[in-house]
Amino acid sequence: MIERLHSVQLLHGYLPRQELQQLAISMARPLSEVMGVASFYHLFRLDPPPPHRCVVCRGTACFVRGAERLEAALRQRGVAFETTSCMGACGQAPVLVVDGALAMGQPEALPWA
Amino acid sequence: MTTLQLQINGRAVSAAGDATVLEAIRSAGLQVPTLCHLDGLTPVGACRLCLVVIEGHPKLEPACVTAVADGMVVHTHTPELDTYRRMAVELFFAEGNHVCAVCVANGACELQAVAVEVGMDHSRFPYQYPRRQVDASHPLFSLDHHRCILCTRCVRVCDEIEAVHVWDVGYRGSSCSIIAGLDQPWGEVAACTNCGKCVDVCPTGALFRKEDGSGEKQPHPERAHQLVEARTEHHWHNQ
Ligand code: SF4
Ligand code: SF4
Ligand code: FES
Ligand code: FES
Repeated sequence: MIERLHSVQLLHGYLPRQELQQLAISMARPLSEVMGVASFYHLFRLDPPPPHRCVVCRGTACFVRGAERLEAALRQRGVAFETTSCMGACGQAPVLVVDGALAMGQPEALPWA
Repeated sequence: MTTLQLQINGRAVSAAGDATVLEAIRSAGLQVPTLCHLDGLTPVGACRLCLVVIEGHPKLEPACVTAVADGMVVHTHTPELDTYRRMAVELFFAEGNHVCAVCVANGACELQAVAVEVGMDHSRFPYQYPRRQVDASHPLFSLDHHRCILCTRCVRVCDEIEAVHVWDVGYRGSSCSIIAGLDQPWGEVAACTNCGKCVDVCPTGALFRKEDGSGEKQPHPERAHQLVEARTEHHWHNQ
């Protein structure tokens, strides 16, 4: 089932409910079981990804150097973001990844700020 | 069927070869607190209340999912076990929002009964006061997630006995919750037959009939076992 969920996510960028329902029907599994698996793994997205993907590091170094303030600034600007633990770029803390590129955490420097 | 000899709290007890430690404890007239276990449903070892000491085992074992073995020496109540059990119950209270005074299950709640059994008078853990939902979308029943202890009895009864598997466990960590269908409102899930079995076996006031007010829930945890008995042994309980 996990493999099938992966293919759906690869195709759509997330797991649309409609597709989960189709998957349950084709595998003859209960809806709640499919949803149970899909919601358990952080790798699966249940909602469409935002137009830009922003991931803020919450690792110790970034935390100490103001990741919380960075998150607050993003929230204030209405930017949807995810969080992760240490990205291995502690020297530049606080860091975030915007559309796959590492950025240093000056909220003013964000493309849409 | 082979019969095995074991010792529970210093007493010689015999048990069927396929029995669990919990069954052996109960057949000896002894008892340990349980919450996720329910006769008639597959045991899952989720609540950790039935932990016992088995001599020679490096860790504590949940009695409900541990098979008996010949010569096993079991202790059901030690100071260590009593402490752990009380802590486990305290965690249940701290993790959800259990306000017994206004709960539909007040007086008929297994969590409440277990708290009394283990002598819990307060929680040493800070209350989390999680923000959860109440699902009142079903025409007959409601699910108040604040009172759910994730014992999965509802999941198992609906899957194993009613065979429609409306419920499952979704998400993880502190967001873990019981979900209906694709995490939809219960009332939207076409598979539900409105049988009420999940409501009957829920140990707390999480699942209840809409007409029940404070202290009015009448649970029927024995239904799971009765139905299994009726189906496998053709023995019916006619009230
Ligand atoms: S009422 Fe019956 S069918 Fe519906 S969720 Fe509960 S156990 Fe399952
Ligand atoms: S709703 Fe009731 S039966 Fe279901 S997991 Fe929660 S406490 Fe257990
Ligand atoms: S703590 Fe953020 S990159 Fe290491
Ligand atoms: S009753 Fe054994 S772990 Fe819950």
